[in-house]
Amino acid sequence: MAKSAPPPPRSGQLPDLDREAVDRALATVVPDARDRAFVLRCILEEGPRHHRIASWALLRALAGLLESRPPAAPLEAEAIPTEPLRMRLPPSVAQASEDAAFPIGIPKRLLARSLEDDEETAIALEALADGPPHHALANAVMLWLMEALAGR
Amino acid sequence: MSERSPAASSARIPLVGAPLSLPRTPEPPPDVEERALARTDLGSAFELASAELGFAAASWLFVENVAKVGGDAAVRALGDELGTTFSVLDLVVRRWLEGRRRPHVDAGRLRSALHGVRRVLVVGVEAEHLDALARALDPTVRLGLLTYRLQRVDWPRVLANFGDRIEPVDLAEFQGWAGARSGLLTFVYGERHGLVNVLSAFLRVSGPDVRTQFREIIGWDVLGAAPDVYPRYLVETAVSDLTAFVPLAER
Repeated sequence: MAKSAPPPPRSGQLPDLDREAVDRALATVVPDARDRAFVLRCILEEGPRHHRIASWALLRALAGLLESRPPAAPLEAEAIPTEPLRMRLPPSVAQASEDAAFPIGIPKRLLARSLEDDEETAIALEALADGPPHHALANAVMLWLMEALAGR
Repeated sequence: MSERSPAASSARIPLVGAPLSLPRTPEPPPDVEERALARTDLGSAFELASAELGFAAASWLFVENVAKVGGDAAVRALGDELGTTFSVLDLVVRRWLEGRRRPHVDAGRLRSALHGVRRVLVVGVEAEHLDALARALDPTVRLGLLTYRLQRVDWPRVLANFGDRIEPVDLAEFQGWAGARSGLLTFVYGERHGLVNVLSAFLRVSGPDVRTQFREIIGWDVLGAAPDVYPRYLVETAVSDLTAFVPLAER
């Protein structure tokens, strides 16, 4: 019987998963390299293994699409309305933190275009930002890459 | 089926009347190692020093001073006496006898790893390293010290050494220090085969819920090699659990 590849570690680097393409694609949205590293760590190194690898596959596919389509103009991320993505700190201490929001939010332009009205958009935003951070951050990054694709 | 004693049952669950005062459980007798440690003033002194200065700082302090008085033979005796219980001391004794001396504390690489961080929550006490950290970081960067340790610590006395520069942070409130510009820093007592020795307090504050709330999770090696003796006061965790590992700067 063929030996199966060892599973990736619970956390830390996933040596077989190329994250550079996603990192490059995200650079216009999150310019600080350490901020990007934080976001990608939360998505690709935290949480259950199947989530990490599934998110990687989807983000890698989107990043590949982006690279195959040169932009007419660079994405102006600051011009796109964004919903902040807050950390889920215990309520008793949340006020003490000075910056309990991730360095990436959820872009609203594509959602507003695609969904029926503000109510649907609000419901979608609430769901996209809810749950464990690796979920919410993967949602945010995917939507940002879709925003970039929409402009190409 | 075994029959329950009515007397015992009613004694445990009083249905009426005042709270029952249960007989106190006698303290378990100390084990062999605890008895041996309590007999020696040196053991008690090292326990206190290591709790309030840190295992590495206290080990070098004891080894250097014992060597001044009794030379290598006394250092070897110190290791024989306390090394089994205090694994960091055991390693420092061995290093001393190999001719090595107290390593230089260099916060330069740590400062680089903490670039852009506005708050640093430190897990563990290492007096020299905390001094160096406080000096190296911009005064606008807040420094907190988790006041949780398995050893008894007089925290006000420890914190008084740093004036107001380092703030006490209770275990119940440490997530108030989380954020996108926050760093969690733990002292590391050697690395071997991808595993590092840390205080168990680090495991209390680095669970899956917290790992996504601090931008940086940094280990700062204060020892340079993993102890050979099973570390009674330390636990192992994976290097890959850290976002940065700052090795010891050897002289």
